[in-house]
Amino acid sequence: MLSAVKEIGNLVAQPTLKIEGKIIFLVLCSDFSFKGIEIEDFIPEKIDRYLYKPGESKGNRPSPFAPINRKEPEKSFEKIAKWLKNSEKIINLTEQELDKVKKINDTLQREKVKILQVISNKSKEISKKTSLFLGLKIGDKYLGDFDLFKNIFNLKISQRIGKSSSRDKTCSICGEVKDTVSARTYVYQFDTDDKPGFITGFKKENYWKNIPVCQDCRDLLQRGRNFIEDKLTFKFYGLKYQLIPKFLLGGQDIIKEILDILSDTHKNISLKERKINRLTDDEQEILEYISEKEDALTLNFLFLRRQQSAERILLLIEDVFPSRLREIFNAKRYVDELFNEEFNFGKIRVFFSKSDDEKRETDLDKYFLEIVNSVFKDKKIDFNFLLKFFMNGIRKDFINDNFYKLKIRDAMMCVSFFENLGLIKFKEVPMEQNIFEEVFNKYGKSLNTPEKRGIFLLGALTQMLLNKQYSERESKPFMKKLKSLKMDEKDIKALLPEVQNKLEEYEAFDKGKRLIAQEASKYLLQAGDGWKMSVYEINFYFACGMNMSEEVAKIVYRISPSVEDEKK
Amino acid sequence: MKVLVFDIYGDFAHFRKYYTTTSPLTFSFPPPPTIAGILGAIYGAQKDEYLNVFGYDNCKVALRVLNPIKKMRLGINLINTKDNRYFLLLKKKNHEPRTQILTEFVKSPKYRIYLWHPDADVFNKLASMIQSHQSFYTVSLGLSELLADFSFIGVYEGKEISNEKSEISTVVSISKLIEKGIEIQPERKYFKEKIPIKMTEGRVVEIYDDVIYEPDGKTIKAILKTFCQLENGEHISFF
Repeated sequence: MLSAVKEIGNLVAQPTLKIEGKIIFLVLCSDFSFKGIEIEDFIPEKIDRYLYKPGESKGNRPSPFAPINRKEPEKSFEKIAKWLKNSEKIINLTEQELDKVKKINDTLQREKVKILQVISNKSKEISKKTSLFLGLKIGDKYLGDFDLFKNIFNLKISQRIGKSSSRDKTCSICGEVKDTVSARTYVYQFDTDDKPGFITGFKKENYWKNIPVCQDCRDLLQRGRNFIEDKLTFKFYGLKYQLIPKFLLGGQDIIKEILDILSDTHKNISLKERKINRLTDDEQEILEYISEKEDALTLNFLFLRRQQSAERILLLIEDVFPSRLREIFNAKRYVDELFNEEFNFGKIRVFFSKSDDEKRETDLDKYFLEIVNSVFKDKKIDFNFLLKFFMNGIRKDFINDNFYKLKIRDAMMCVSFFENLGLIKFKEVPMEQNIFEEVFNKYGKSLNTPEKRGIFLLGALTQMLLNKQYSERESKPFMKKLKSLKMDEKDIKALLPEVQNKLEEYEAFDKGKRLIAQEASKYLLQAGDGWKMSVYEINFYFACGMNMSEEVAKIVYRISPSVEDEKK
Repeated sequence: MKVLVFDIYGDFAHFRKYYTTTSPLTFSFPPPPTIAGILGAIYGAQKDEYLNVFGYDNCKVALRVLNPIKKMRLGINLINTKDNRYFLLLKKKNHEPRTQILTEFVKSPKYRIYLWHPDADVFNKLASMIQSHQSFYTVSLGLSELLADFSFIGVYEGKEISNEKSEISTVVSISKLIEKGIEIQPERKYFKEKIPIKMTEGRVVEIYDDVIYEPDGKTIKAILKTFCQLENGEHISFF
């Protein structure tokens, strides 16, 4: 993966930084006494003169320039003061240089209270939406204009990188023998060296042996990552992923062309005056576009989470071919047409976000990402695992009588999508033809046993009863009989006569419903006893039947059209 | 040339990608230094000598993927060694005694290893150890917890062939290919990974190479600078 990032870095120009905001400069006179403050706009082109190093973790930024912490400006001030204080310890400074640094430090310490007061007052005057930075100027020159500070700055960076290094060794990224290689990329933070448990016999000074990187590769990696962050990072339902294209054996020209197109997504979308199909909630998503490409490239989806200074890989989906994306989009289009509604990963996320609505943060990301991985990598998914989460979601809405039909529909769309992609498979069992075949077949092969069909039809009939109840008395008391959709085999078998009885009481047990009841009981009898189905599964098919009651009704009332139709 | 062929397999494998420490990812198959370790375990070479006996300069190794590469991730509970010099399992401020690390594994791995060794004694001893299903140390696939089993397939006569288009059963190092030497075929997937190839006894990697493999274990049609044809008709490419 790092090679792919480096390859990208090699082919793209350094993207301009998009930092906006204001800088509060502490200005010292030429005798290093405190003069006051000046406020300037942040100009990215001057970044070297500010001695700013963006993109590093905030705590360790080796720079005399820092974003202002509005609540605690002292912290920002201390960062700069600490950088200068540590500069005194650099051995090869001349006496004159050391004297300069010391004088600045003395001034800062002496005037600390005053400075903090001024920063605090000024930051209140500037809108909270504007990013604020703190820097240092001597006269009208920035710190980076002085060779002294520039050298200290570069030295500190190279000291950090060179903590573990060696000469004339092979770089793990370019594979070439280089004068100096040192440990870590300092670009991605999943190669940290802060725990001795990482490698057997781990010694920090030998860490370069694990991941030797040369400075050229480090620079290209940084450029590659900047480009990816800027152009190829997409939103994914509360998560983010970086799309890293990798090329198997393609020529550089092809790669460059593809990167150009990938990077200019706005142009790409506006060029094609057609509806863009998306799998996610990100408007810039370009997967459909890539799906039209040949399999000369593969895609890596890198889901990262920042955790203090480290970065954790939540998921890396490696080597997805455009042809796989095509299959996924075909399955999506199939489901779109079947349900007359757009399918995307949001329909899956509905069930795999939070295990409890009260929770502040999403806790089912792991499962969601696992499913996304299965979709991209064509890995089987356990149907029973899905059912558990589908039913938990459906039950929650069912208990609160809260548009539960939408949830059922989402679950059915997911099942249809997975089945179309071959991620879940149902055994094909030959069954005799039936008037409801049209509905059964429409949703794949999941309704492949008499008990499933019986439960499904009973679900449809029950929904009709609930509709009737609602139209007569604006409430659905029969819902209580459905045990919050936690019915087992016995409950289902007992439910059929109860539904029939209730429909009789409402004088609504017409020919159409009688036909459904007949078919349901026929299937339930055929199924016999001891169904090998979990409670989740039983209730899932029941819920599907409830959701599909209108389609079932269409069939029966087409056969006996004289019957009144109390559908809602 | 005599080539020893045997299979190695297990429930899980983990060959950590060197650039991941906090979120360990795994290579799809063991790189040559790891294979040397496995051979050393069976043969009985010590930790500090196996790279000498089975290292890049001393023998030739090839690997074929037998079971499709499937990767999955599991959370592993580890001792949190950060700021915990003596590995005391005590909770301190901002420091939990254990940490859960999401680790990637290869599921149901099975590989076929091919070995040519110039030293007849080493070759014969290793072959007889494998044939009698014995090993000096316990064999594992990457981590000590991931125990491995192995089975002897045979010792075959092989001959070197150069610059010929052929179906290669093993993974192929890019450096062994002639330019544009791969014929991309439909219904086959081609994956590329950069792996360490040659490691010294001081554990310094001297050669890294991109390796192409078919994750379902299908053959790769390619023209190689040299490859080895075994008497059973298989074409293999040493790392």
